[in-house]
Amino acid sequence: MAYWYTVISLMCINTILAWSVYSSFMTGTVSLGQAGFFAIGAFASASLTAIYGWHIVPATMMGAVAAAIVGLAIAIPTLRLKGLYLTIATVAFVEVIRVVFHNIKYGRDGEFAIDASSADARQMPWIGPDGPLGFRHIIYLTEHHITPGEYAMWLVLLVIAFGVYFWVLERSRLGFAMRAVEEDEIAAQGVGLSHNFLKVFAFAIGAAIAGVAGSLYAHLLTFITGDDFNIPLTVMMLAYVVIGGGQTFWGPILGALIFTLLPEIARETKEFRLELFGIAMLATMVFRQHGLITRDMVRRAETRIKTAFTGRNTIGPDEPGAPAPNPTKK
Amino acid sequence: MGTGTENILLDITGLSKHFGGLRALDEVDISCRQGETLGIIGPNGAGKTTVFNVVTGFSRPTSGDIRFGGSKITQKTAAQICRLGISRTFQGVRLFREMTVWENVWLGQNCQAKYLNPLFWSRGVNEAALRADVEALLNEFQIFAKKDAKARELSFGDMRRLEICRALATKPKLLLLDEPASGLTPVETTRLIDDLRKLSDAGLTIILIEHDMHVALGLSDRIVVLNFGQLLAQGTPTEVRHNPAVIEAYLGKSAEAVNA
Repeated sequence: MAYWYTVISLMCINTILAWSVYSSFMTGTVSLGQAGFFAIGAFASASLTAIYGWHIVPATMMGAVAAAIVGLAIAIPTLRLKGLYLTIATVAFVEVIRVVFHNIKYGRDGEFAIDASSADARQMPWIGPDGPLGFRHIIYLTEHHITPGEYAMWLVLLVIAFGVYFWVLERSRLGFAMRAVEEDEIAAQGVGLSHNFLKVFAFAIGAAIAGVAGSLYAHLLTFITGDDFNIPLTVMMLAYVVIGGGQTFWGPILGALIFTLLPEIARETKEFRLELFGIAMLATMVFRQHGLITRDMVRRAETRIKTAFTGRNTIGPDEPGAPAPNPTKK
Repeated sequence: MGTGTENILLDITGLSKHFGGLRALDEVDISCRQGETLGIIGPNGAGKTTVFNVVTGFSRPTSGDIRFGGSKITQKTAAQICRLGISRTFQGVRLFREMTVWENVWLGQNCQAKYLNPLFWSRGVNEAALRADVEALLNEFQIFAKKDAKARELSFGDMRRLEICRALATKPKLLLLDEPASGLTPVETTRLIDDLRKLSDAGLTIILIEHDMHVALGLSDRIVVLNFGQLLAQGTPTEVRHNPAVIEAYLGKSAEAVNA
């Protein structure tokens, strides 16, 4: 059972990561830098809980804040770059962060021995990032007796909270303004939208969300190294959005679920997993360019649900091209 | 012309825009009074669209001064200028193509609504009234029936009208139209002229770039002629039509046809 709790937790974390890509995706910015923010969130919050004994909630928040600050620092100069150039800049950022966490060491000696029968000081673990050896013994969950099931439940609640955020955002003027920037930057400026502000804002929010995911990941795995946060991971996150669908926030959920579950279910296929992944990716590119879930699908489903609730068939008069229900005469 | 300096809405003085060695605009002075319809005509490459781009903040002038309602707007961004009350359409129609007609116009209102509100919904702004405004605009331009269609599904004439609708949703004091009649059928052009005349009668100041002489000369109170980035002539449509320099540079032999 604990295995499935871990799978559920990973699904939640991957969903949050997919949304972190989606946030800047809404303004048309393709970020491959999310693994970097994920790493910053993971190391920052794990340092706070493991070294300084913070509670996990404020530590996660600080991880998000740290990632958002770095996100702002990256976004403001690089948003002059367009399209692919920006994407390449974010890739470079991931490498920088990976190398930094591969090499830094700080922290303190642990108070517990790894081997309980030995009181030898050399057996005391190092608490904190230890260069290439990574950050081990992030034991907040065991220390506070949080079972995998409880942790998975909290993560599901958090996913719901982020889902509500995106649901509201997509229906607000702010969300539409972001979409407008994505579709046509010049026309967006022409109707008075500050395109640079919107892009930086969406990018920073995406970074903060990746920071949250990083914190959750570090505490779940109890062991992270700089090398975990590499380019394949960042490409994977983008794949969740591209394959699931980048037009609504539902798409990234589906993408994350598929790509977390598929490797678990298809464990027998072993090394063919990567080939399966490649085939799935190609098939999506060929057959569904906008991803598995498109905006039109969501709209149709919403209309159907609305109809079911109100008991009225609203499809008729609202159909595009049909005459207005109440033609106004002056 | 050039009388009544106190009610000048847009005042362009000594405006130059150079792209490398090319002088797209060279020391141009244009002023537009409150409530008038000003036509800008000129051959291709005369710098007409550059005037619009510089005025609306999409490109920075090399030198010169632009004043709108008395205050300088030369260094402001496109978004700020839009919020000050200058709205424009584009030569090739620029719509939010994947969004519906209704959403396009609704987005135009973001100048009035506080769209950056962190609570994602504008407080202190009557959203219901704004929605009613959208519907009124769509009705006025006769595209209400297509309000749920995507912008890219519209006919070209409807796209043009939708773009004007969206520009009007920003509640502009000055509307800049970049070739509003190009690509329209004669019927659509007639309808466009009627619509623009209605706006003008309602007191809106309009500057339009136009190649269609019937539209330009028919709608404008005053015409400015540009040629190679320089001001060639200005005056009432009648004056411009009879200006020998204009006839030579732009109208050429077709002047008789226009006069007729």
